[in-house]
Amino acid sequence: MSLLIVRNLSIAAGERLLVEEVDLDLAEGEVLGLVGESGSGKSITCRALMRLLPHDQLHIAGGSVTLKGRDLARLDEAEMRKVRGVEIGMIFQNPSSHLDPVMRIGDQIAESVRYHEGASTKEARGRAVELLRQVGIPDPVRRVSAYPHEFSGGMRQRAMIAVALACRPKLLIADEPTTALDVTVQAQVLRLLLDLRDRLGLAILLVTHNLGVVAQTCDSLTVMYAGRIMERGPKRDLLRAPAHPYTEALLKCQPGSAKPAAQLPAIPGQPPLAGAFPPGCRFHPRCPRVADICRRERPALSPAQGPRVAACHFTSALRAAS
Amino acid sequence: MHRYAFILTRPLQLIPVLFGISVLCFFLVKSIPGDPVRLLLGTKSTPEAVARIRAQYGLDEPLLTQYIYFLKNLSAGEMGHSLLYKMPVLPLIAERVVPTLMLVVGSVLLTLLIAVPLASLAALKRGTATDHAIRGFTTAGLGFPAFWLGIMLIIVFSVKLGLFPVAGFGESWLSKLHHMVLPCLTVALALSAIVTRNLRASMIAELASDHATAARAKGLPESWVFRRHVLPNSLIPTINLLAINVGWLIGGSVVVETVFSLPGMGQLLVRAIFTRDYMVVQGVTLVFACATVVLNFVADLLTVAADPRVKI
Ligand SMILES: Nc1ncnc2c1ncn2[C@@H]1O[C@H](COP(=O)(O)OP(=O)(O)OP(=O)(O)O)[C@@H](O)[C@H]1O
Ligand SMILES: [Mg+2]
Repeated sequence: MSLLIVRNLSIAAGERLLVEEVDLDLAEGEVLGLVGESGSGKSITCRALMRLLPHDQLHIAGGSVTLKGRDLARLDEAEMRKVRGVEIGMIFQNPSSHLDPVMRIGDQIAESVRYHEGASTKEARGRAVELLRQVGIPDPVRRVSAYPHEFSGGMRQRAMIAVALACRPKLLIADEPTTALDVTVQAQVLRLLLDLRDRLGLAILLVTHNLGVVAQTCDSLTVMYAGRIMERGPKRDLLRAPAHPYTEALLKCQPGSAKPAAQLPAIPGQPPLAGAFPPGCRFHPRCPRVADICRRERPALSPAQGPRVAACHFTSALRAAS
Repeated sequence: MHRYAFILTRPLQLIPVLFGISVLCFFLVKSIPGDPVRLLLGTKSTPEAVARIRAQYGLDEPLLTQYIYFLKNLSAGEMGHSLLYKMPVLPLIAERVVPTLMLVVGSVLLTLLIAVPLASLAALKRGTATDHAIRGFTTAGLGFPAFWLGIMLIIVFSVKLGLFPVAGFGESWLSKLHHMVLPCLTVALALSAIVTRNLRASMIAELASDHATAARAKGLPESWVFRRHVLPNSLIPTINLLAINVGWLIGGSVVVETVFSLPGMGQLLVRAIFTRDYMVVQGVTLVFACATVVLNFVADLLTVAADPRVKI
């Protein structure tokens, strides 16, 4: 059974739709990658799942989020608080700004344990030390009383993961957990997440714009562009034979996919600004396969191959060509 | 180096500062026009009498010699004699310290007591009628001069309601406290207007900060997020704001002390200036300057305690 089911999720800033008709499915122990260029709406989708959009600026314009069979939109604020932190843990994109600069790391990890489980200060502290050990912080007994500025970027990211895991949630939303890190630390953090998945049976929604990260970690993949899903399916199929030109373009841009010494290819042009999306297929101004129909009609997400769906008028043609 | 090491090193840095203050005090007073001896003896004094008094107080020596005398005496805790009160300056000041100290400390406490709840309320209920009402209060607090506020408070609470004494300073500590309520409130109303505005702005920024969002993502209720994350972070800039204003308050204590006839240092200073009572002006200025230095030290101490990132 699916742990998390998202259907038709739309997010708007006033009248402007920033994210439209997003579907996500996540089973227990599964790692789902959400990829897309900067500004495609990944972070606000994550925050919408937790009902944590800045409510004076953004709101959920439609759709449903179902966690273990419960519609989160129907929960009142008090019930929703028992979901946040307890059932869904969240790792934010930028650990430096998402940790309180004047509170000890240990207290930041322990406070949800104290609030949700009514643990004593001592018990909660013990849990914080244990969590810091789990995420691979050396000398956790001492580090538990450190402040965020005393940690390196990689350690802050680990501390952030410890914060998210404090109340043993079953679902982890990780918004670009490795973007701010150098390559070796990045690999360590990804290994840590996979290890936690194996040991704790976590489901992980892993947001990234790095397909290399996806290749290493994910089971399935959802590709977003300009607030809409372009393609969705098992990772292996998507990476081997993308059904959407955007996925294909992203793949070509990965370092390592080009021949050594050749110039790194980039997708020509810029992604559209939120709310100023082009008519028809949103990718058409940058698409190498653009045809008349792409400018006029928006392609629906339709089955491309097996469990895979893609939103392109030429999906079948692409497949035929490859 | 340890974050609190400045507690030990700061006094050493103070020596040149204090030296500078002493030079400034000394020459500032000397540059005030008017002859203190004539003022003391009246216009009909004989030249002989004037010369005698001048010699007695060393006023006929060159300025540099006078300054060296001044330093020498100062290092012995001797601040000279008041021409007007006919007594040593140090005990004269000591008598006046208590009301001013009570005024400053009481005003700061009262300011926090007013500003923190008001700013919290305004920030949490941003854009509502409550917020507008509080903005109205702060605008009024900034707009009305302190002496007017003081007089209004006297009319309402002392004359009409009879709750507090009109003026003066009590004998027992309880009576002293009773006398201090209205003066402190006068200062606190003006000061809390500034503090409330700044605190509200930093609270609003902290409420929208990433780390507050992260705290909400832990499922903590808004009250917890506010108390544990928003409040401590937004109070940090307030420490310095308060320190600056208290420095100003020490110098400005004279207005409130006059309105409430408080026998404090501000009053002493003003009377000394009008009567060219050199030694008293010097002494009080020195004490005010030192108080400001101590105040900065306390502010640094509080900042270091409140913000683990700060190194001084
Ligand atoms: N508070 C807000 N008010 C209005 N628009 C917003 C707000 N937050 C984000 N947006 C817009 O929503 C769009 C999606 O933003 P989001 O942060 O989700 O992108 P992203 O895919 O996470 O990008 P990145 O890879 O850079 O993190 C952007 O165009 C952004 O300008
Ligand atoms: Mg993002």
